Amino acid sequence: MTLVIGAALALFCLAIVTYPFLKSRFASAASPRTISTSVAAPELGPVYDAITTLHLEYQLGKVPQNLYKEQLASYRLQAASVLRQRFQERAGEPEWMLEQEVLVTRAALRGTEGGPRACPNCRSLVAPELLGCPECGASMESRV
Amino acid sequence: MADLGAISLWIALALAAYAAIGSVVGKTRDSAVLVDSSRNAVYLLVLVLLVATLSLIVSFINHDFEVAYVAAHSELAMPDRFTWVAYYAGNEGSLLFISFSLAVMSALALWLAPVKVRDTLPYTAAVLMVVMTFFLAVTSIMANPFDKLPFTPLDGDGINPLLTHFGMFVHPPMLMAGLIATSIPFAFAMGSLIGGKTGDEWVDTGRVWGIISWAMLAIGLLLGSWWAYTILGWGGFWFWDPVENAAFMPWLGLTAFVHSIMVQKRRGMFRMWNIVLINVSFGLALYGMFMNRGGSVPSVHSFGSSSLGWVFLLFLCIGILVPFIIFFWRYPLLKSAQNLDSMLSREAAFLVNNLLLLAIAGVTMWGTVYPLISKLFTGVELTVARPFYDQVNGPLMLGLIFLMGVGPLLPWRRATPASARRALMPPGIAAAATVLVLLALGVRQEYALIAFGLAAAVTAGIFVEWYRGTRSRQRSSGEIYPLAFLRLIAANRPRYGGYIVHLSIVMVALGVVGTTFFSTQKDVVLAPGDTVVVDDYEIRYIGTTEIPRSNRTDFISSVEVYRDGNLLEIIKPNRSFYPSFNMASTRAAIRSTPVEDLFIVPSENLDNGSVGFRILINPLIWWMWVAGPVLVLGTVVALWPQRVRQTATAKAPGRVSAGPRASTA
Repeated sequence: MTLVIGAALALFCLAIVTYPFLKSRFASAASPRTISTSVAAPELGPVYDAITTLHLEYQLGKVPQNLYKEQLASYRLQAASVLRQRFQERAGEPEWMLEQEVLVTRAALRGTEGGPRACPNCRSLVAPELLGCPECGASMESRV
Repeated sequence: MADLGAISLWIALALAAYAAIGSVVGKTRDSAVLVDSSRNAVYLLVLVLLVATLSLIVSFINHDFEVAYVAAHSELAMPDRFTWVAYYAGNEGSLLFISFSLAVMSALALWLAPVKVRDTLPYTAAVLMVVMTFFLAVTSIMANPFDKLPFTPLDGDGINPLLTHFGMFVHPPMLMAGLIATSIPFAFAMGSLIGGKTGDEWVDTGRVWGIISWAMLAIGLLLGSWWAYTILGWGGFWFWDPVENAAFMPWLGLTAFVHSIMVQKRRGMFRMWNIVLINVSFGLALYGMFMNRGGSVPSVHSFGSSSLGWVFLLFLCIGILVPFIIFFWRYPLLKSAQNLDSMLSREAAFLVNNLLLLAIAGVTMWGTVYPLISKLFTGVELTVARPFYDQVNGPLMLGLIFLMGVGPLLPWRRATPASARRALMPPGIAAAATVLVLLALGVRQEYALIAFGLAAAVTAGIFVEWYRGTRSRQRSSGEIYPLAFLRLIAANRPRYGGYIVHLSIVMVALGVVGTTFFSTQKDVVLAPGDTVVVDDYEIRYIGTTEIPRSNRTDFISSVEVYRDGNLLEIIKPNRSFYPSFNMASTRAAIRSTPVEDLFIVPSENLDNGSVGFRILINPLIWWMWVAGPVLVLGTVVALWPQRVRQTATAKAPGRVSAGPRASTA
């Protein structure tokens, strides 16, 4: 009985280990292709965390105002350069370019209020919820 | 069932070897199917080793004494509840337990791995499975718990009496799982290096598994201390025994790592240093397992009859050399993204903290291997004892507590002298006030005064941080104070979880300082009716009841405890004699309060009814045991997943840009 259970266990393991090979053999070649249009940048996580921590330390009185502003600006610039790099990496992908065109058209159809604004420094269009230009780091706060 | 267990072990060995080779081949040949298949093999290991574990447990429950391991570690009279302890009481079972723990943690680590490490995950899996293959090969070939005797004895030898203690249900598994858990962050670090990802991709996962491993070792060490305190009969909790040290050293390495990895996570700094730290921690964990199994330094904790020492020594050498070869191979790519802005910053405090922790680990290592070195060079085996560790490690530990108070109060990157002074003022006042009060109370030991002062500073610093954060939140959101406090912690879990863990370390420090500097000990022989006075306790011995059991004889003494003429309690210290082991086991009777423990243990029962008692008064040791749950709470808070942050949505390349959301700033 023990040997039978042992053999069954071994066969089960063999089946699970070989399953990916069988699956790839019989999988349909016409499986739909997915297009990723996200600009998810996991490198931004630490920058967001750093900004949150900086804000907390400012509130706790550990960081004086001048240091707070200086460090906040550097984090924004860091985030901007990450995003810019991401844009440059994906700029050649037609599906992604198309998606961006759609997004811009939608934004235009929604009207100018709440839409993108031009950076006073480099003239790049900046998303409305941002306080700084991700392209050059210039402040957009006066427009909020 | 033993046959099924043996079969399962061999299947597990085949799966682990397949997963190790398949992961590397699949990745290098760009075969996603082979990589998936290898990952399935890792998941299957959990099932197969669960079958092996259950087979062994069922063999214990069925008293299958044909199985040599069952016969050596149980007997008919052993209560079923100790089956779990018997499972890992010997070398063979403990190796199976370690393999099973590694299988569970490896499967979880791979399953929960974030997207950013997916690219190098096959290498991580391969590293884990190399370690797994080693343990399973040793277990299957050299220390198989399912090996059978040529005959079936009528009864087993029984479980070691020292293991029949509640602490043994958790202490050994925690330590073994904690030691092997260092493989997980180590494997993520090595996987990233081998895969050429020399940035910060592995940091989050490495941090989480580093903290898990650290917490398991910490709980294991605390429970081990509690076990030693209550059962070994000498009234202490830490002996600087080689095997205790072997578990303590990787804990120190991991403590340094879990702090240092925060700097890499926040600032992209210390990339090389973190790889070195996790390599060192993994090496120390392997050293710990080697010490347990045939290490050349004798210890009361080790598996005395083990002949696996040379195998573990070989694996230890490989486990130290190969990671450092990989490290030097990738060294040119491991440049930090940032530089240290200022020495007056949290990063700098973490760096000094790391150096102190490694210094303590180095001193402990030196003390542990000194008998070997002295024998090698002088021919005489000289051992170092507690005074050596106290004199060298004591000041270093005080330095650590100081940093534990200062570090969290400094901001990241840079503090101005004025802001640092403002932040350090409340803890400084608390420390000074504590020292003055203690001086007024007559305390004159310099080390104790410094330690209590630092403990007060750390505690005050943490509470001031909580208060300021809560007040700030209350003012900005209008929440009531308790809600603001809870939400403050929930919004910054790693930070405030860390503070809770720091509080638990302060509690441990209180216990250590209290017992080291203010303990009172008296060894007396009392006849029934005799009374002895120890400090302000009056202790009266009533008598001893002898109770024969199937495997031992219990001698339960009754002792009345008075203070100021009032009866506080009748306590019952216990001593049991196990004829089959020719060994006595004691259970101290402890009257425990936050101020002090009254500890009474019978050291000898004389024929005339008299009993030799060791009586101790251990101030503040209660705090050390309470520290355990607090440490667990802090770890859970620090590790509890935060809500996934929304990533900014892209608009158009070169036309509309997105960046950090205004709300986070």
